[in-house]
Amino acid sequence: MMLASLTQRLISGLITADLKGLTTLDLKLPCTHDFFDLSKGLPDTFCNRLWHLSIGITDATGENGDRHYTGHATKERDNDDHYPASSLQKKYPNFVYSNGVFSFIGRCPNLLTLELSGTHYLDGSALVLPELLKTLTIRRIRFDASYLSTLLWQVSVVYLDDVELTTGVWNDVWKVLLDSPSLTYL
Amino acid sequence: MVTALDDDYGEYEGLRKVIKVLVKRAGGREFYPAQSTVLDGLNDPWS
Repeated sequence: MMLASLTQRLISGLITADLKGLTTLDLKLPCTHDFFDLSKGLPDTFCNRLWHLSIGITDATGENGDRHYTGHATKERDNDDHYPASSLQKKYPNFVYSNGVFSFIGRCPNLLTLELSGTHYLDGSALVLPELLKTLTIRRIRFDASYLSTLLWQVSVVYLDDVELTTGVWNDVWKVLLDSPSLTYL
Repeated sequence: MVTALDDDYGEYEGLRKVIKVLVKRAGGREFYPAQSTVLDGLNDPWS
């Protein structure tokens, strides 16, 4: 309840403040579900102005919350099975509400830079990149190999951190990127 | 860093080819692991 109020206040602040020159937004909210409210609450004029967007999730509690959260992770496993989820994660699991984040990104058609960092792995199947996007940074997101290839094909600079494939192998991605005309950094 | 590359599928070799293309495109003659963020945190596949 308190967090919902916080998100609403944030939206009100962004709308009412005189931010007509705002083109860069770096925003971390407790869970993916909060971005549904943000997406609904911000007007087109605000979203259309954004060129650079950085989105992060802060609640990493519970199983598979984040590799760095407990400090017990190995290369293979997060090892956080016994860490309890917050009441927020019990109600709105980040993975289940991944689309909250992607719906907000979909509202911002003029982005040149997008940075997206999950805690619990997000389901990247609903991520659609803005047409003009040049630089993509993604962390803790799962993709189908062919869909990830499609996304990476359109950008010039790619930063991958803790990204997993649900189907396919990385070689499927590399084979596509080998012929990408626009890629300059991986 | 990606999770995780598998030698059985030639994934290191595939990545190496992509980086070669990128370095060539940038005008470089050589390539190193440091030129890719993908390899951060993984065992060195270049040796």
